[in-house]
Parts: sequence; structure tokens; C-alpha cells
Amino acid sequence: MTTLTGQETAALQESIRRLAAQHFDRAGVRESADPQSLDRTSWRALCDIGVVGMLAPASRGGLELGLRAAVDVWEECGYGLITGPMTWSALGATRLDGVSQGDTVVTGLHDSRGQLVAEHLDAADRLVILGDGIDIYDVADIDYAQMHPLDPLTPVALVNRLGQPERIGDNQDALQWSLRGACLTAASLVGATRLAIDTARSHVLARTQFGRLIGSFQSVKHLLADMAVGAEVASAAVSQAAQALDADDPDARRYVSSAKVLAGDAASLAARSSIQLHGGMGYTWEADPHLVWKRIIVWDNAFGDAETNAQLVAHCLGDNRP
Amino acid sequence: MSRTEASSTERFRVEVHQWLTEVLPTLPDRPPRDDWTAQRAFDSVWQRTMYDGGYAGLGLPEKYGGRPASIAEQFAFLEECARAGAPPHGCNLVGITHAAPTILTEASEELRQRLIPPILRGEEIWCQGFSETEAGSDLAALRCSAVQDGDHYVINGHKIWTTHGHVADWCELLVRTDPTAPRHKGITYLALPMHLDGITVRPIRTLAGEREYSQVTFDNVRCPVNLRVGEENNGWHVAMVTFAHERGATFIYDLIRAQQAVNRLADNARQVVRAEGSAWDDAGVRRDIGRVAAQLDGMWALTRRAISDAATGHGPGAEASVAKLFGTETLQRLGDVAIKVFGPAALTLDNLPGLCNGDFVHERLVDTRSTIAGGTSQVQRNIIAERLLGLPRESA
Repeated sequence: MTTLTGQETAALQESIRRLAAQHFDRAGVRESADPQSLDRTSWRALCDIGVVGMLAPASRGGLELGLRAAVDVWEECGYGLITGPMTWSALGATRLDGVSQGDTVVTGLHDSRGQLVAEHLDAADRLVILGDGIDIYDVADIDYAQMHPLDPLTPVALVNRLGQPERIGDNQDALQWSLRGACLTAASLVGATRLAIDTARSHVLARTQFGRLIGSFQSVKHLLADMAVGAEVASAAVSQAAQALDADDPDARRYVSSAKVLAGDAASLAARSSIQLHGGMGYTWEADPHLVWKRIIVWDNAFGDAETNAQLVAHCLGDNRP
Repeated sequence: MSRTEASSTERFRVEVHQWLTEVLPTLPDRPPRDDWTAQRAFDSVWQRTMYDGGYAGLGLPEKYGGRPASIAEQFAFLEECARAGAPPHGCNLVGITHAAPTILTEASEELRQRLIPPILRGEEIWCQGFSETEAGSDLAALRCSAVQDGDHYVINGHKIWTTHGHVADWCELLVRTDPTAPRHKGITYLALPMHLDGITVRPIRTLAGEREYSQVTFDNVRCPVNLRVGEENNGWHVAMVTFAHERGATFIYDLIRAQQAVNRLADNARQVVRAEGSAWDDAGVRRDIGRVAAQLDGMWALTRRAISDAATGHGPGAEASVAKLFGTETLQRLGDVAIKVFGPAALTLDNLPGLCNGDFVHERLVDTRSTIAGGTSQVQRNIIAERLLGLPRESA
């Protein structure tokens, strides 16, 4: 596993910002209420800068980087609200050919129980399901129904019947994918949190009412301060979890769950508050805040929501004293 | 942190751990909470023990009884103390965490020599005389006055929320020396001996039933001018130095004690009997406890980030407000969750057999002060909004 220097991380983040502006600018979704399917050109552009192959071995076109490097990139992608099954494909790229390059799109479900509502199934080639192992399905064999999505940028489908799986990992492998997926998704949530904060901040520094900027009112300042605190704490927790995973630290499972809780809570507060701070405009389809809110609900659900992870943290307590 | 720094911190940590296993069993029994004479005596013994071990005044110059130590080492010392169950600063809190570092950078050499070593040896106790009934969050509105008469200041007025006022030998006192100047520019910082004539100390009973704070009145108290810290009318600057130190490393002790507490709470929850199973059998209870534990993990992550930022010379700024706000509110949430977990047992401050309910409830009562003292949570939010997010200050 290699790491990125501060300069390399900054350069990659800058590439992502340019990519987001060029390929993921949300203009399409503003103009149309129709759900937006994954654009393969945009997906390939994301693969070309190395994002999807970040964790994968060089033999599969990857960069062999660890979680510590990946979470900084995932946070930047979250800030850009970049669409597509990034996390599942990044995991898939570690075991399957063609994923890093963008030829094969992988999506997944972190649990085989409950309703199987899968993101980006319409654009995917493979579906991964984690259970007591890592099972991979050919999407062509899956009988599914495309649903009307909550997040217009995250198409979802209800799986009715699966084909035959190929088992590509055991239960320990599944756990490792689950932890890495949760850590990366937490990073995405932190990015979206920062987007919600920055958008709201810009608005309250521009909007005037009662003869002054609404950003000067204490209730507005305090709400934004709480959003910022959530982002700072979650960001530190995600870095802590990523470092623990890379070091095979026995506390890694707990730190990942803590990060997922904190990132989910921070994102939820920030996204809802950002809508609120935009006033009437926040309620429109055309403005961005609703897109952030809907995406954070998608990401909270991925790899176990905040509530589930809070229980997982609780199960690490009592016998293990710090 | 460089690899050499990391390994020297590790060596220091091992040394501290070993020292703690040797000295902690030698300490006397903890005194009852409301016996302040005994509290002061105990806290002085612990401070002297740290001094004899070479651990008083970490980061302060050796000529005053201190010892050079990096930020990482200072954190490591507090961390090891917390994990080993060493006593907190207690009565030495103001002296060690505010007064000594302030005197070091702001006072004359004569005052440094006179005041710092007895603090480090646990011989002299300090209190903080800043707030007044009309000057809390708006500290610059303070009115306690000092008028020069020969080589003394004559002090008249009052202070409130004077931490450890009733056992203190010295007071960090903010007084108004120029009522005609703009508010922030007419304030002076004095090191006031608490045994002078004209000082009356009345402890305040808190909602936790304790008396760590006092009201103090000054009736023509004569304080030598050479006990002034810094220049006359430059006291606001000196107070800002004190505030910066107030938000320093000590919270790591509270954080680790809280992490130990949340583990105890999880154990206790299994012992709390309810109509259907134990409290732990309730998924809601597990979620609440787990969420608070996650928030403590978040605080730990923030702390590690702050330590490595300090090591690279990146100063605290608004990040200290983030930590203070989130940390204090999290500790209160821990107490709130505990009260819910314990149910009827939370109605008593006595520990029921097999439970720590009384300890948790008492702790929650005491923790009520932490979102008010040291800059209220509302003030911290203002600081975060203005300095971290660049939002406009309050208009007049």
C-alpha cells in the first residue's frame, strides 16, 4: 500500500473539482424532473483520474493506495456531489478486472436481508451483496424494477430475483469490504456536509433582510456554527478510522462505526439546515440544497445507517476499556 | 510529528506510566467532597508529589521548577494520569493551568520568581477574580476599581464565580484602573494576596450542592503596585493570555475519564432491571449510549488532530472553540443518557448496590457548569461563526 503526499492529494482534489465542474455540474437535473441515469462518459472521466482504482492493485489498473489517501479524495467527490456507485466500484476494482478503467461498473448492497433497493443498477454490470461472504451477480441475470428515486441523481431499482452468485470472498473479506465501504461513505458524507455549509454560508452573506445581511443574525450564525462543528468532528473521525483500517488497529471496527455515526448526524443537520437557511428558495427543485439532502439520505443508508452504527459502537463497550 | 518525536514521546509516556504505578498507592485517601480544608490538603500533597517526581510545570522553564516538555508530552502526561485514575488538579487548577503560564509570559522576573515555584510545589493556591454580577459574558464591563495611592492600589468592588476563592492564597484579579478610557483599555491585571484586610469571601452553593465558587467583596483593599502583572491598563491583553491557556490541554483528562465512564455505563445498563429485561436489552438505550461513545471517539480524533497541528506550529484559533463547545455538550449528553438509563436509580445520589448511578448523576449536575464557564456555548458559537466561517459580528 502506498500513500499520497500532501501535494499529490491537493493535486488530485483539484482534478476532482475540475471534473465535477465539467461532468457533474447538475445542470441537467435542474432543468428536468426526470431521474438522471449514470453518464458513462462522466464515469470514464472519473476513472481516468484514478479515483475508482484508488485501492486496487496495479495489476488491475489501480493506485494501490490506502484508506487514509482515499478518504480525502472521497470527501472531495462528496463535495462535488459526484454521482455513480463510486464506493462499490472502488471495492470491486480490488478483485475484478476492468473496473478501475471504467469498462465494468459495479454496484452493491451491504446486506442480503430486507428490501433490496440497489443504486445505479440500471447502469451497472455487476451487483455485489455482502453477507457471510462476498457474492457477485451479473446484472443481466437480475430481474429488477426501476423505481422513482428520492435522489434524482441516484437511480434505484428494487431487486425481485437474483441470478446465480459467484462467491469471491469469505466472511472476513466481506467484513473488510463493509468497513472500508462505511469509511469511504462517511468521507462522502463529510464532503456533502461541507457543501451544504458552504452553500448556506454564501447565501447568508448575500441575502439582505431588515436592512442587514441575514448572516449577521445570531440564530443564523449559531445554526451554521453547529453545522461547522459537526463537519470538523466528523472529518477528524473519518481520518482516524481510515488510519486505523490501514494499520489493522483492533479499534478500527469501532472507529469506522463512530465515523459513520458522526458523519451521518453531521450531514443530516447540515443538509436540512441548509435548506432552512435558504428560505423559500431552499424549497425549490431548481436550487441545490434539496439535492444535497436527498444524497445524504442515500449515503446514510449505505453500509449501515447512523442508528445501526450507533448500536455497533455500543457493542464495542464495556469489556474493552480504553 | 516526526518519527524521532513520536518515539521520544513514547519513552516519556512509559516513564510516566511507571512513575504513576509507584506513587498513586502512596497518596492518602480522597477527602469528602464538601470538606474543603481536607480537599486543599490532599490536592497539595498530589501537586507536591508531581513536583518531586519532576512532572510539575511541564513546558515551564526549569529555573522556576518546571521541566521542558513538548505539547505531545504534556498531553501524554495528562492522558496517562487519567487512565491510571490519578487525581485531577483540584484546588491547584487555577494556579497550574491559568496563573503560572500567564505570569510566565506577562509578569516581571521578580514576580515570576516569587509566584511560580510555590504554585508548582502545591504550596500556594490561586483563584480567579474576573466575572462580576454585571460582567459575565461581557467581561469588559467589569467595574471593580483600583485607584493608585502611593505604592498601593486601593481596591473596591466585588467579584463572583471566583473558583476556589475560599481556599486561595492569591487571586488573578481584573480591576478597572481608568474609568475614562474605552472599556477594554482601562483594565489592569493584579496578583492579589487573598489574606489582605478588607476581603470577604462567601462561597456559593451550586445546584450540585458544592461550593467551588465564591462571591468576593473588596472594601478598601490595599494591594502593592509591584504585584501588577503587565502594564497598567493593559490587563485585557493579559486576560486574553489566561483565556488561551484555559482552553489548553486539561480537557484531555476529562475526555479520557468520560470514555472510561461510558464503558462503565454500558456495564451498568446490563445491571439495571426493567419491566422487560435489562436497560441494555433496549435497542434505544444501546443507540443512545453508542452515539455518545461515537461522539467521544470524535472528540478523541479532534484532540489527536490538534496535537499534531500544535507540533507543526499551527495555532489553535477557532478550533479551540469547536473542541470546547462539542466536548462540553457531549459530556452533558453522556450524563443525560445515564440518567435515562438508570431510571428510578437516578433519583438518588447514593450508589445502589452494583451500580454507579449516584456518581453519574452527581457528575451530570457538576457538568452543567461547563457550557456556561470559560465562555458560554453561545459565545463559542459566535466565535466559530465569526472566525471560522467569516460571518458578520453583532451590530451594536
